[in-house]
Amino acid sequence: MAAAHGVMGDAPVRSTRHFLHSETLRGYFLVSPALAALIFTLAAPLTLLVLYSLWTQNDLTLDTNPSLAQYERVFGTDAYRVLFLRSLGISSLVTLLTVAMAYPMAYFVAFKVKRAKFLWLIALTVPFWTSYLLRVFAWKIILGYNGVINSGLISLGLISDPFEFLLYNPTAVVVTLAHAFAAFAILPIYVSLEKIDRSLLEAAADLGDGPVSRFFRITLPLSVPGVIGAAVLIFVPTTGDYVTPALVGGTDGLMIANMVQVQFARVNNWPLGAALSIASMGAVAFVACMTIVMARFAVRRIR
Amino acid sequence: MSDTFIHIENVIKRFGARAAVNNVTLDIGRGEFFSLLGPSGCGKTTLLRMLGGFAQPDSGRILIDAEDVTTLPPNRRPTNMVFQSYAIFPHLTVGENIGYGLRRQKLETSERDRRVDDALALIRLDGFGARRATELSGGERQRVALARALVMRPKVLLLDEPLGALDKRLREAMQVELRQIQRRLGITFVFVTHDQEEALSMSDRIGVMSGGRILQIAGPKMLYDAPNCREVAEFVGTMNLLPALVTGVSGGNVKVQSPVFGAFETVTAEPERYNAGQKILIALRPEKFEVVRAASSPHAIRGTLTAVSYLGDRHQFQITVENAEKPLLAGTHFDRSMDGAPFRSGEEIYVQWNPNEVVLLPKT
Repeated sequence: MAAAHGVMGDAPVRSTRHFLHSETLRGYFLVSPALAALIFTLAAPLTLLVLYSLWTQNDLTLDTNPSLAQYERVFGTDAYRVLFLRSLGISSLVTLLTVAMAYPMAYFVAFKVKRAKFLWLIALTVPFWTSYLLRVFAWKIILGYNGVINSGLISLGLISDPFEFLLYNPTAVVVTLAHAFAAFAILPIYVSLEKIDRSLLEAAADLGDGPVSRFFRITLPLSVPGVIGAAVLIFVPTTGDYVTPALVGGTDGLMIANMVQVQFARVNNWPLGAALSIASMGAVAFVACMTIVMARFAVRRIR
Repeated sequence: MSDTFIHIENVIKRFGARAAVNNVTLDIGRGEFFSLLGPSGCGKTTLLRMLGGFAQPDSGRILIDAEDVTTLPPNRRPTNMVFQSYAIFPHLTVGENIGYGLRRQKLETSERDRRVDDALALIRLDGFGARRATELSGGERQRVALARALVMRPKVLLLDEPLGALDKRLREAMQVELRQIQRRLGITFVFVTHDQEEALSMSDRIGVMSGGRILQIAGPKMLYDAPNCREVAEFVGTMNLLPALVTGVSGGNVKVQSPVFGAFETVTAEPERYNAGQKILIALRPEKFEVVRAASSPHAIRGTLTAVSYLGDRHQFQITVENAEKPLLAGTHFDRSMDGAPFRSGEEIYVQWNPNEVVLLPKT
């Protein structure tokens, strides 16, 4: 229809036609599958979660009068506060460790590898082709009472009794998570390093900088976007991880997600579980934003 | 050339099997504006990068101000470079870019600020210090790159095709400006370009490179008027090249027989390069020809005007003459003869020339 009237060129028809062919409409069309998926899998459950967090569970009945009672419990109970702080502490440590370990690897591939960089990147991700669960169990086997480390040390005659402090504590959680998320850190950092114009480093050398100053004055500040990306990519999912703490954390290594799981599944108190989830989302968002702001500030100071 | 300031001796640089710089020996004087001119891939940039320390020669050595710098890294050389891409640091302001190298030196903050301000004034970007480097135009970036290098007060400034990315008008303005800055500061400039007009207009001396070798080193006028080989003649300006035969050499005079120009005698600075019976090339610039309707000189040849092109400031004629493979090119400021009637394509005319302006080139 629009095409037929288009020849006439009168204003209203032209504007309709303009809309049908517009970039905006085409844009909406292109994002519609993703948008639909997001609405059904993210927005809708999230709304439900917020609603639940405002309700109250009275044994077997659900009281749907909105109240902030669940949030008062979340913030007023010491046990939950400990879990929150531990979760944020563990995932901060994991983020720090993973970025610190991934940076040299990404740097090596971006700057030192001359050919077949693609193969190197693939090779770095090979350990992550197995399932997450399998990798967590692998660490359980490595750190366990009769595990690789203990039996190795015993057969070398260095110790007579196995160490018990390797598994079932926060350290085991940190080690396992740091390994599990390494690939997520390497790729964004690699991309930001690869983008750096090599003539900038030559210019810095020309102006008197040795390799170390060059790194701190040019390479590091220009790779900050990749580092921030990597940090967020690790921090956000590790804070909410519950598989690793459940399998290798023991009682001291439990995190907030384990409590959420307990509330939803075992105790059947969905409102409290929902409130815990929302609170942990808020905490993650807050810490992530603070990290970004601080990184930007640090970059400005480096100059 | 005054005293030798940069001494390049038998420098060879290979990339794989190919020698990018093939046994170059070259001296550059103190305070000289020296250009390396050549087509892309001739090795001029590689040679410049070896001067700056960004590449190491496979053999040979490089001395700057009597100091052997062959193996020194860029940060320990008395040179600074203006990069082809300008390499402006995107995360810093204009002032921070210019002061980048000064921060390493133990200067008072006020002294550093003063030198940055002076540098901004030098490139006529006063007040730009606080701007972000990413907000600059191409011409401004080029000038910031220049100021960032000059503020270091280098003994030698290396410039890698710094004007290549600018439009023609800006490029010509920058040529004049660069030349003035160089004169004022008295710093030795080594300038790499593939643009022969740029090299001719700015340099004290020019080294023409091809295939990793230096073909000729000469001042602009010498290079234009007396190229020493076919490649230089073809690369610098436009040249009519014709085969000829040497029939005799006596003193500085050479007798030549050409199928197009006939027999004539000319002077040469290097008579020892020629002997009787040798096949050579003779070369004449288009503007050395005079196009007339009636011959007034014994050195005139008859031809047919096959094309007239208007180039704004002059006209270029294509003239077909007997025994020549290609038409001759003649350039002139006027499109008409002394009698006032314009020349037309297809017209029979005469081309007059002066034997002493003919350049002899050994056939290679």
